[in-house]
Amino acid sequence: AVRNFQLGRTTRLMDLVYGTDATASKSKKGRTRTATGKKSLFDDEDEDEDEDFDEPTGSSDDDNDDDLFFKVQHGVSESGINDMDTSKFSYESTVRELVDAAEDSYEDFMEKLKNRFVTGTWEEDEDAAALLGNNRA
Amino acid sequence: MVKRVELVFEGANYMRQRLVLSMLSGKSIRIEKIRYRDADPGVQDFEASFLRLLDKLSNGTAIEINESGTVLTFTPGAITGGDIEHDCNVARSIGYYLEPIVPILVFAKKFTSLTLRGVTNNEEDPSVDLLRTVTLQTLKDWGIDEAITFKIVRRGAPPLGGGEVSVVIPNIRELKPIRRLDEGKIKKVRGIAYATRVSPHTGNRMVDGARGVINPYLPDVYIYTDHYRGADSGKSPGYSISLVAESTTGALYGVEVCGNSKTVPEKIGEMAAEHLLQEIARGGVYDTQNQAMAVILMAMSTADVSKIVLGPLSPYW
Repeated sequence: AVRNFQLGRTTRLMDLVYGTDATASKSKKGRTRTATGKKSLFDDEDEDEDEDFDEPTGSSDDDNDDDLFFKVQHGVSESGINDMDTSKFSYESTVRELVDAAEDSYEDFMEKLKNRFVTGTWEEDEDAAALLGNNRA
Repeated sequence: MVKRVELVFEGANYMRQRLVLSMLSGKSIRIEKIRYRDADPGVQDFEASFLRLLDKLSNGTAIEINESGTVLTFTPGAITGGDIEHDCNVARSIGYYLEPIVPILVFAKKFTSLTLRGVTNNEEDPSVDLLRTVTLQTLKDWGIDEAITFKIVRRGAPPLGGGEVSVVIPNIRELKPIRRLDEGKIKKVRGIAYATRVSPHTGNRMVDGARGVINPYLPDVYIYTDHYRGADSGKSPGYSISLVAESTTGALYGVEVCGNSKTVPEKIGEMAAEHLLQEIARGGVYDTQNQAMAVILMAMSTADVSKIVLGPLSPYW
């Protein structure tokens, strides 16, 4: 995959993401340091051009540890996650119906509020009720 | 080479949540058509700052943004945590950055000590006060009760910010399932009214306004005033009041209202109290701000079924 971070807005955004010198410190092979992940981002050494970009880059010392950690952290193997069926996403439409449900009337609201305090007595306070009413109008 | 499957989304909505869930699940995502019809299209600076924070929290994360900024490809790496400092973009508050990454830090490889600088309180994002008094307290429900610390080093009001917070969140291997079905009744209200680079009386005026609304319903109300001056006061003047109601079963409801030049401090206090009453009336064991985090943590807990009661679902953006 060719990554081109060299023009206009993207350069500025990637500077924000990866630091002010990320796009200025391209390797001799013309690739930005961002292409190979974090380890190569902040090291000055040139990276091997044939390195697999699609794999997260761990340090050489704890690669095995990272794999184990991934399994512990996510509960499944990485290949298992990649096999997940993600074609049935209906999150937004389902939740939107609940979020857009009609609000309570003022009377219902005050009734709910009355039952939420530990105080045994309830004294009507006209000023507070007016404030709430104005806010919800 | 393992072939990666990308989830493809459109638009800038839910961007933080999509990125966080990508990191937690280990799946790559591609977000297209980000503000593609706007006059200022693409990923905004504050979102790029959030991406940078995610990169700092992980090892191996790859982020690509196309030339127009309207397409973002995010391949998550391993969550490492550790000692991290980050200068947040002042367009959004520190809460914008910290709130969504809390579930990530719980699953980090190392104990995370995070220092964030920027705006501590603004009108649209969760304030650092609510993060400290509500959001981080709710983590205890999942068994994360050791060594959570949160310190507001300096306040920073918009537009220039200058605030700083220091937060330590421990990592754990697994979250225990929870069962919280009783929201209880409100037994006390606590609050903080802070002011920086304005009159010291501003805080007391906000407290007066808030107490005038809440006290008829509940006698146990204490709101503290916190006035900052000098080096601790950030770069811009500002004031706000945050209120937290606690129920007999430990449910916490938090609200905050920030001051502005068009509203007197007393009115700010009244507005905060009204919002708190609305939160209380909505019910549930978690307030509207923390519904999303609670659901994510439920999904990430161990295989046993968790059950919680929520009030009407709130929109998340």
